Amino acid sequence: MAEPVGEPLLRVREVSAGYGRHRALHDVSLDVRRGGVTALVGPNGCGKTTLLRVILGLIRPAEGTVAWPAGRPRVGYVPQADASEQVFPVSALDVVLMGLTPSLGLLARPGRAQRQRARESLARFDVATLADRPFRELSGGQRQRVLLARAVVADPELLVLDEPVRGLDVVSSTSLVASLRRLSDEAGMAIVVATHSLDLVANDADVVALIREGRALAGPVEDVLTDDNLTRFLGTPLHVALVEGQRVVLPAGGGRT
Amino acid sequence: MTGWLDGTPFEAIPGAVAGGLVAGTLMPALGLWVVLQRVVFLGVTLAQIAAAGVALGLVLDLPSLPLGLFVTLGIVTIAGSRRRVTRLGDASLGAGFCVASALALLFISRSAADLDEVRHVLHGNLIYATSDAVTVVAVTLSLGVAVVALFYKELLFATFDAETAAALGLRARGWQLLLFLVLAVALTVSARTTGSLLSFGMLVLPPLAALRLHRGMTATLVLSCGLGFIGTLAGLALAVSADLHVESSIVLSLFLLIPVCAGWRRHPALGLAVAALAVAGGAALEPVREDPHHEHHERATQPDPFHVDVRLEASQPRVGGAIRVGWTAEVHHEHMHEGEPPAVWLLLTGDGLFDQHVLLPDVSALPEGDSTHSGSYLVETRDRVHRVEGQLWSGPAESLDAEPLDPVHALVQGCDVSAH
Repeated sequence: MAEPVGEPLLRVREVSAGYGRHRALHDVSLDVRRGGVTALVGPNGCGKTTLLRVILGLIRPAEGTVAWPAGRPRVGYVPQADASEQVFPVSALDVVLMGLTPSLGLLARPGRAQRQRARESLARFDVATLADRPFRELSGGQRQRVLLARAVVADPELLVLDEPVRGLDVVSSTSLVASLRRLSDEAGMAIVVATHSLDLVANDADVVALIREGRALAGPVEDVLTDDNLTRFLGTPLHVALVEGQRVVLPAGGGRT
Repeated sequence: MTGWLDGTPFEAIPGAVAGGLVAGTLMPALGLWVVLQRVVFLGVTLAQIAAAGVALGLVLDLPSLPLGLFVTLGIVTIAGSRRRVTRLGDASLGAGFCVASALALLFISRSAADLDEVRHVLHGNLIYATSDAVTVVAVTLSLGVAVVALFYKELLFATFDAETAAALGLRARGWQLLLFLVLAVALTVSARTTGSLLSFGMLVLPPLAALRLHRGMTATLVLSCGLGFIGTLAGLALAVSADLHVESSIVLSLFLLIPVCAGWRRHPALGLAVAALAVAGGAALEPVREDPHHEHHERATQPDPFHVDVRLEASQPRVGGAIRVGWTAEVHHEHMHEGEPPAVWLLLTGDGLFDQHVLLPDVSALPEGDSTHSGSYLVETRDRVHRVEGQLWSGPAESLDAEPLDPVHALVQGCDVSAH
């Protein structure tokens, strides 16, 4: 993971963006490459989600450019857990089928092939048995996996996730991160993930963008994830240590190295 | 719109039955989306905006329904183009509801409309539904349901998770706007016939009941429509049997579907028990209301020598011209051989109208025991008549010895007739 892998899929250059008069991002630059995991890290309200929305085309940058060198790729998206309406009487399979809606014709309905594809996507994340269960009755971890299945059902080239491990227990979180890493390594998918999980960033990301008050420092994990940078961007003294070959981020002065 | 219900308890209110069942069956298919997006207040606000638009039509002396549609669609389009309608929030919708309600009343106060018309605009009158109005409602709601069915998958994604839908290239905001435009048209047209209270009730109550059954999306849509049909039919039956306000009875029946379905979800027997309780409660209601929206007929008693029940229908199918008065009399007499042959006639007055018509020229000539008689006649009017009062008289024909019968309340369609 010394150098980001793959050809550039996305180039964000000096982007400023926000909501109304409020600027949430200032002069942010970032490259996203095929087959790599890019993590956006920062405190609440720092601009992570805004940057994701800029990448997804949901917000137009006030300044700067978002360029797709090889053309706009197929995109998959996993929003924050509470973004979807929980009262809809839809099954997990229905939710995954939504991911195929843009690729189907206007009046076309999902057929047997699409249903099979959706079931395979659920199986990819070990939730095939939940296909006919009501989505609203699933646990947080199960929902995240279903949403992940929806995001990849159309074989996206770019997968964008907004805090995918928030609220998950350690087992679910670890399993989900492993799934992401697998997607990146095996399917060559470019993954952009906004997260508070420094462990995910430290060990599973290729590129990290530390964001604070709308300003970002982006680059390979080895270069950016330093004690000084973490302390400066996250606002609290932190130390990156190696434990059994894994990077661990600890409060500075915690005594463990 | 008569004939198809002859011999049923709904014989006297065919318009209400047709309009109610059409709206009650189709409106929930649109309402489910409103309930699922938790923007229920949007429905009642749209209904009120539609009423304000219709009222504006009365002020400007323009066709009120098209103007109501224009105003509602305009406001929805403007709101939808500025920001996502679903994110307006309760406070904004509440403000819209208040302003629309106030404007409706202000427009009405500046119009030449009388109280009946105000009531019609603001609350609707299902009982007055004409076949033309029912046809318009049926066509409009059918088109709305067709739009929802055709673009089901797009609407589902756009309403379930608008952000992801937009990220994947779907025009989520456009699909949501389409849904709300369909809703605006449906509510405007429906509220004009069924009233805003009933339209709103039909919009949200059957879906709320169907959701209690915990089925899938398609099944919930179908169940919403089915429950809307059943609830409306039950409400109509309650109104007819207990002589209650039609719209309120339907709303109450639709609401009772919620505990019935919740009970059914626990155990079908529990659902049936709740339904039985509701039916028993309805049966316990006595027909004591005097309601100008609804069919009335009370016994006009004349001590001796005869009894007569007279039921009236009055309708004014076009502005000005004539009122059609239909009447049915159930007569009972025995051994009426002495004295002058008594007649029964009706005196109608109101809004420049004065008309006298003999219904039964000679009661003593009728068969002894019970007999039923009916007829209809036209009363020419110069202007539109909104309220007509009727008085039944009996006595020797063309004699000054006539006496008023006891108070009689008459069935009315199109205008308000009450006899004292």
